[in-house]
Amino acid sequence: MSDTLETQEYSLNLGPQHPSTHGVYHARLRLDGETIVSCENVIGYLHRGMEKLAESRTYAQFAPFTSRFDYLSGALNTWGYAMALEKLGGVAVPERAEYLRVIVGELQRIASHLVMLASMVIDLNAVTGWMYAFTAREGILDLLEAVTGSRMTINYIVAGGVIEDLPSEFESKVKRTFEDLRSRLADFDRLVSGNEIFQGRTKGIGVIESGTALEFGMTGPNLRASGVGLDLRKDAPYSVYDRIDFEVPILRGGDTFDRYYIHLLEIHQSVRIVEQALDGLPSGPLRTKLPKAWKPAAGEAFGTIESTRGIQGYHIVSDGSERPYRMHLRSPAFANIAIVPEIAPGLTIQDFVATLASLDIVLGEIDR
Amino acid sequence: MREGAREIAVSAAELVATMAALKALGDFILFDIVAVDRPERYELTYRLLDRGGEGRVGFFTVRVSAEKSGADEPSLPSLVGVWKAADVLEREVWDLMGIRFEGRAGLKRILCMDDFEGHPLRKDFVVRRTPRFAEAQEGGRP
Repeated sequence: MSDTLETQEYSLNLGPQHPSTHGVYHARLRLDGETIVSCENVIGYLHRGMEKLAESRTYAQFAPFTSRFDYLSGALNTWGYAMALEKLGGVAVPERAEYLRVIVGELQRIASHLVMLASMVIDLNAVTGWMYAFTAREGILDLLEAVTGSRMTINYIVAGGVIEDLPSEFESKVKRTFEDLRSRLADFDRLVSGNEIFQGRTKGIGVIESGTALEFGMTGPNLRASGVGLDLRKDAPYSVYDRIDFEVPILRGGDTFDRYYIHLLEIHQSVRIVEQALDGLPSGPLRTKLPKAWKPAAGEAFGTIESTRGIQGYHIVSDGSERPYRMHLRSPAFANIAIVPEIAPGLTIQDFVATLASLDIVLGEIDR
Repeated sequence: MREGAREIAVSAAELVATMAALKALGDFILFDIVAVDRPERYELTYRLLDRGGEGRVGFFTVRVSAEKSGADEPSLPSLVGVWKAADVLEREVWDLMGIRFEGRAGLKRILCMDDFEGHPLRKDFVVRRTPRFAEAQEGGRP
C-alpha cells in the first residue's frame, strides 16, 4: 500500500501566533511528514526601534525603556544600562547600592527562571507544573514589588546606584518566601524532573554540542548546559559578586532536559546569593546623584552583565550632549535563537516545541 | 579583565584574515557587531568574547570603517565563512544601518519588515508619525 502512495514535502508556519513560540517568534518549517527538513527563523514582529528611540531621549529618560527589552527580567536590563552609563561617565556606585543591586537582580533572575520552568512544562502538557512554578514566582514578585514598587518592567537600578532602600522587615519576608520557594521547588522537582514521560520527551532531544553553541555566540544557561562554564559573575566579576560564595552549575548533555534542569539548579544558587548579600549588606548612601541634564564626555562605553538568558551588553556612544549618539543592545536571546535553524532538521514538531521552550527566548529582547 | 592591548583597528581588506587568525587562537567567539553612523564614514565595532587565560573572561575589539563615498550602500567583507554567529549580526547591521556585506548569501532584512524602505539607524533617517487609519482614508477625520 505505502509503495503506491505519493508523498511530498510541505511548508508549515509555526507562529507568530502560537502559544509554544513564547511571543511572536515565527518559524517557517519544511516538513516531511512530521519531521522537520529545514527551518527558517522569522523575527522582528516586536521590533519597536528602541535603538533609534534612545537617540532622541536623554540618558535618564531612556532607562525605563530598557526594562522592556527582556521583560521577564526588567531589573537586570536596567542594571546593564546603568553599568554602561557609569563606565561612560566614570560614576562611582556606593557599596550599599551594589549589594541592593545584587539582591534585586538575583530575585529577578529567580522570577524569570521560574517562568521558564513553568512555560517549559506546560509546553509539554504538564499543566500542574505550571501552577507550582507560577505560585512560587508570585512570592518573589511580592518581594520585588515591596522593594521597587513594580512587579514587571522594574526601573529600580539607575546610573549611580538604586532609587530606594529596602522596606522594613524585608529580611524576614525574604526568609519566609525562600522557605516557601524551597518547598515548592522540591515539589516541582519531584513532580517534573523525575517524571518518565517528561524525561522521554526531553532527554537526548535537541542536543547542542559545545562547539556549535560557541560558533553561534550562545551564552547563559543554554551554553552552560552544553558543558561550557561561562558566567560573567564568576569569570569577570562585576559589582560585589567576587565577595559572594556561589557555584555556577554546569551540565554536559546539551539536550533539552539539561537546559531545563540547569535553571532549577541556578535558582538555588541565586537563593544563596540573595541570602549572603542580605547578611553582608553594609550601611551607607544609596546613590551618586547625577544632574538632570547629565552630559558625559564624548566617547564610548560597553557595559555587560550576566543576564538571565546570557551576557547582555550595552554599547553606548556619547558625543558630549545629553542624549546618546548611539545606543546598541547586544541581546543574548538574539544569538540563542539563531541556532534553531541549525538544530531543527531531523526533529519532529513535538520535539521542536520542547527544544524551543528549553532555549527560553524572550522576543522583546530579540526584536528590540 | 586581562591587561594588554584589547583593541585593534584593521582595514576592510584585512578584516577576514584578521578574524580567521583570531579564531584560530581558539579562545574567541564573535559576540557582537555595532555600526555607528559618523558624518564621513560608518564605524563598525566587532566585539569578540575572549574566554581564554586562567578562566578570566574579557572582550577584544576589532574596529573597521566603511567610507561614505558616493555609493548609497558601502560594503564590507562578510565574516559568515569564519563564524556562523556573523549571519544574523550582519543582517541586523544591513537592515538597520545599510551596510552591505559581500561574499555571503541571504543578506535580507531581519528586524524591519521585508518591504520597509530605508535604514532606520542612519542619522539622515527621520522618524515620522504614522498616519492613523482614519487619517489615511479619504474623507477621514484629520
